[in-house]
Amino acid sequence: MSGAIVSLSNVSVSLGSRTVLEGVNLDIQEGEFLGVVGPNGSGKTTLLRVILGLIQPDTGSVSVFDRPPGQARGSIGYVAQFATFRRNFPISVEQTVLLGRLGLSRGIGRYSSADREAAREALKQVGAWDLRNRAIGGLSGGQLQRVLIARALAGRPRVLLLDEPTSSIDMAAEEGIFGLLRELSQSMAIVLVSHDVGFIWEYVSRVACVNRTVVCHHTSEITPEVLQGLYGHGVHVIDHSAAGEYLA
Amino acid sequence: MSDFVAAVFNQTFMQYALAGGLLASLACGVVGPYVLVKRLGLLAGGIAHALLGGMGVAYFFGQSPLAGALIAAVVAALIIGWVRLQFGEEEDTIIAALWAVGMAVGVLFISRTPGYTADLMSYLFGNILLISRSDLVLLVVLNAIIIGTVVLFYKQFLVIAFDEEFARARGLNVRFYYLLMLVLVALTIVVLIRVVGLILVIALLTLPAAIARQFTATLYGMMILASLLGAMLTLSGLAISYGPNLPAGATIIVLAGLSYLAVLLLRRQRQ
Repeated sequence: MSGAIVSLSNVSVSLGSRTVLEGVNLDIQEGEFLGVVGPNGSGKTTLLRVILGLIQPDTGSVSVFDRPPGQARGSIGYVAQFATFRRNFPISVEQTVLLGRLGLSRGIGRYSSADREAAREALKQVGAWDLRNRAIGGLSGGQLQRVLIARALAGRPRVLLLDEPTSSIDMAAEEGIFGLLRELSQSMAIVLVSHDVGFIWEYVSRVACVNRTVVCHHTSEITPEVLQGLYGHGVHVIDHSAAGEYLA
Repeated sequence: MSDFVAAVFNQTFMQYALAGGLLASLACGVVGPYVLVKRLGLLAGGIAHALLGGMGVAYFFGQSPLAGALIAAVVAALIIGWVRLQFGEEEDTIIAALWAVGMAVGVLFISRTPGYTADLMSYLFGNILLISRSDLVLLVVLNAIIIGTVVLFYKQFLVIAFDEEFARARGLNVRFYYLLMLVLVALTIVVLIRVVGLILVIALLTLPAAIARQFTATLYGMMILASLLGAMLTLSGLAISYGPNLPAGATIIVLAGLSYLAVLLLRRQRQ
């Protein structure tokens, strides 16, 4: 292996009769902050699910920390796209975060003190320690997203996969989340899926453009032409440093 | 009412009835919250009705109907759970079919059983006053299995009830715990059959939990409160029904329904 923590080579995935990913090669390096962008339905979420071992590719090989993907789940933190649960579920913030210890702690019975310590640390890391006794039903969108990130962090992952973590929250909360991810990226690899390439590219070091195939660019190389090729139509690109805007 | 109190102190059948009611409350208080939050109502209804098939077959061959119910409930839970896992929510038709066919098989076998068959009514609607000592032993064993399993696998049940996708991403065997949860529902239904009968079990599985949900924001809080509520409901149902000789199961269910309605109305008024 080339020091890559996640390595996909020639991976193809079909769901039903539709080819979602085709001939994908992707290496993710230790400590890297990778943005994954692409239009809706381009296979971004499928890519994450392949890395998690939730989808078996039809062809090609995947390794995560030099193991088959299903066996490396203990080292992966995952924040799914839509909250995949009902908001009115009777559970507190702390219990939600403790669920992130699943598969790492004792299989049966109560959580250990190490589990509780990991949950506490994760909640503090995302700035949600004060919310620990609240029911998740009473949280704002931004608070809930922080709690879900804490749940992923509670497993002390070496790589964090986030699928559109800001799709359902307001702008101010969104910036807070990206700031948090930038901090976290000092100590772990992060793979951030977003349809909003304009917003994430000042944070990430490399962008993987997904549209059935995957093409990677360092953020310095991304040009309007590259984006147009990916999306196939005009894209608004916001240059955050200059606050200027131009149309590709 | 004084008749009831006298019966509690002097009559063995009433003491057995009280013990049965409390055991049933405990089982449905612990499992009911899962049925509520995981939306297993239809599946629980299917299991409850389908197990009449097993009871009927056991009855026909002269075996203990409750033993037949136990086997049939677990088999029905596994089949219905498998259908749900395989086909998802849209395959309600298969569950409805199992529901009705299981019941029909039970009715056919019972009708072919020679001799006295009035027992059928007591399985459909329960007869808590007929609980025997051996029934109580079975209820204690089933309660121990149910509560022991929930204590051991609380975390796993919590995560599959709360967020299956996340459980899968953490490598949990979601299918296994889902089926195990349904088996617990099946065992609870067997516990409840003696008390309220298989047609009414669904109310006792969901109503105490639904009332408890209004007052607590955690799953274990719901379990404790629903158990207490269930105990209060079965006790008052027994007491109210005893004097005028009403069916105890139906009285308990009507009480539960009225309590739920009252709690909802109070909630609305306060908002």
